[in-house]
Amino acid sequence: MNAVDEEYSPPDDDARYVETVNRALRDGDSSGRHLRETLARDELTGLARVPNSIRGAIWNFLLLSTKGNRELFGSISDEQFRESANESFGIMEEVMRDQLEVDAKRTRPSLKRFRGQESKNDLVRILAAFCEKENLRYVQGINEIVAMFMLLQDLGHSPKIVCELLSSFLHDFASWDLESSDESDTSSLAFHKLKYCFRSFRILLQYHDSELFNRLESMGLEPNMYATSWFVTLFARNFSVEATFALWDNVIVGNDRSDFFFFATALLVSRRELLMQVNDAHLPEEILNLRAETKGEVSALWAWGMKLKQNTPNSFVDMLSSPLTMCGLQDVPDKDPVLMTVNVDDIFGDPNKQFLIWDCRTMREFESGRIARAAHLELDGLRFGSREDAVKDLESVIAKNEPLRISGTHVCLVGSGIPAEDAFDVIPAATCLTKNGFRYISFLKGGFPEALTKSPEQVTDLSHAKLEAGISLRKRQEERSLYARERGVPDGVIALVNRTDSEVTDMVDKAKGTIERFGSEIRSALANQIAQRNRKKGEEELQDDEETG
Amino acid sequence: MARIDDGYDYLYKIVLVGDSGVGKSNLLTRFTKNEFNYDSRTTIGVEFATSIIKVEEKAIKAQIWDTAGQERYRAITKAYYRGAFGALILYDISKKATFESVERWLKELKENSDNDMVIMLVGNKSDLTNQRQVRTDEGKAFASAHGLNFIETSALDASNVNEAFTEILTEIYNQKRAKPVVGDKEQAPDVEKVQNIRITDPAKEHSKKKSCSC
Repeated sequence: MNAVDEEYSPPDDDARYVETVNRALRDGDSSGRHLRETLARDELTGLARVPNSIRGAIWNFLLLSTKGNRELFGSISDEQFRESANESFGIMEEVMRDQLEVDAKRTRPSLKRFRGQESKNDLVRILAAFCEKENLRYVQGINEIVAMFMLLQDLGHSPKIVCELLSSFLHDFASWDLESSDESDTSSLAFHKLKYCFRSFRILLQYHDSELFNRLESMGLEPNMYATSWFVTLFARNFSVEATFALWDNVIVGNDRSDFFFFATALLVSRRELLMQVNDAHLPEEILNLRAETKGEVSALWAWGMKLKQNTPNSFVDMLSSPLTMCGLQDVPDKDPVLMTVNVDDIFGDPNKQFLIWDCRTMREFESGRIARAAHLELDGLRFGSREDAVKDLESVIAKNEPLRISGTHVCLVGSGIPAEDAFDVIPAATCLTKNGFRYISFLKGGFPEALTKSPEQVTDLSHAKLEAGISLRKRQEERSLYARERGVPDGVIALVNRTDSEVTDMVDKAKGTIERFGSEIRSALANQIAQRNRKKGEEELQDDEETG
Repeated sequence: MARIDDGYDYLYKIVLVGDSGVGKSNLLTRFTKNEFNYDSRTTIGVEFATSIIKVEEKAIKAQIWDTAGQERYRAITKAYYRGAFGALILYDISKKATFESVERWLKELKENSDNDMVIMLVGNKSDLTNQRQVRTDEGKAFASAHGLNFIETSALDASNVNEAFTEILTEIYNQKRAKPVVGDKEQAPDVEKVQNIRITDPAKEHSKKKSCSC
């Protein structure tokens, strides 16, 4: 909902600090490295401190000078810009002209800066000129981004510079706003890039907090329901001016377009307690009202997001950072499972993350060549068996992973690499884990053959002849068990916390293999979890007593 | 578990649609907070509010979803219609073009909803009498031709706003009364609202029953 939009009166900058930064701006190298190094860091969060009085100059330098981003308008004066923008406006279709004028009145209207007619006219001009130059149709929300640049005090209110900054900023950090659209073709209304971002965002949230992810999704709260304005306006529509400036300082100085995704994930995860507990009927309200008002809140969330980033597979971070992945996208099929995929570099080449690798192929295949570190996950019931067999397998998957639930271990499932086969073992097993609230679950893109080609040194006990025999045996088994294909994949099974004592004992017995294999960290994680379960049980009993008494 | 529970018997989801600038957000804040905000901002994506009204001694909670009006956003707004029992299609009586779009919005609702929705046509900004471009009888005629309820409102001077929401909620209530919700209020949203979108998750169902067994 519309929060009260407070006038932002920034605190005075330290004059000496401003002078130092100014010097870096003047003398700095064109890569912006010197300026980035000169900016002081916040003690708690390590974030850059951008002085308010020269924010415009700093953003301008980092967005335009350092990147060789083309200038849309060359060196024309503001008057020339206004003239040419008026022409751009004049040739727009009427309905779009109306839209711009309506939205100019509704852009941070309570702030002094936007009360006068001349700033509204400038806003309209900037949007019209921008759309013409970029060959775009105006998308609502870009007005909010323009407003932030118009609020920069030290740019002399130059509409031309604002327009250049807007273009550069969107290309660098919100390329989903730059999708051209031909309205005669309804499929091109489709916000392809934005949908793709939402999908990546779902995967990210699921990876870091599958319980929260499951709750939101089960309530129909996918990112298009709550995060549209987050992405389209980079939070300008949701946050106060102070908070938006702080966020964009970090985005621009940090210069990594993936950071925004982690910030947005942090915003959700940091409020998980509220979001998990609030009544179903209020959940949409709570999630749509998530916001930050102060610089301090933004810094804390940013730091949280950077921790999430460190705990995200590198290939996924690279994908989010890369500009290429944001271009020329097709729609991702809705039925594709939401699941983190990793590559061999993620699981073998990252010293900062511990990956537990489950080989999900048949035992025969596993014994004829396997990743040395991998453990075998028995899924024959899921692949070839009856519905009951399949459920048993999934229960055993849960049991074997239970010790990892609250440890920081990343879990990667490896299959045969053939999508039609993965759909019946790796994917359901991984999905079962995420549905049951396990985090850090991924599967290896390309499966075992990928490991064999890309990282043969990680593979042991390899016998090509035996492997071929194993694969062909599997094919024969698959043919015989068409039933398994028809019955589909059963839904998830019940998690430990909701089981009876004897079931827990049984599951712990089953999990012993995992425990022995992966040592003391997991043993203590399991002990913690059982303690937690007992605590919860105790509380419930207490509650029952109180209520009956 | 500490849950906020303000007590209601029924929970109905309602969506607001209509062209950009017809006053959807202000109609919503007038109804839920009795406020009119001259400084209201463009809706990007979706906004949301709830309010409770009484119908025949039953507390009815309305979950109202307010969507972006711009054509472009319809590509990602399909999910908004899921599980909705009612819709208000708004137009601005002082802008003919917004009335001409009503047919398109109607089609949009029919194509994307999974329920038999109660739909009401709302001519907003009825306070702008001097600038009126759509006559009341034009609105009425369109509504009756398409089997819709009809009302003219002003979010600015508050006229007919409560009436519009009360009428649509009452009608939904009458339509759904055949299927009363049993006992536990905590369960009410499941029965009435999310039945079509909930994925089966035995773990959650199980724990839920457990926490509500009091």
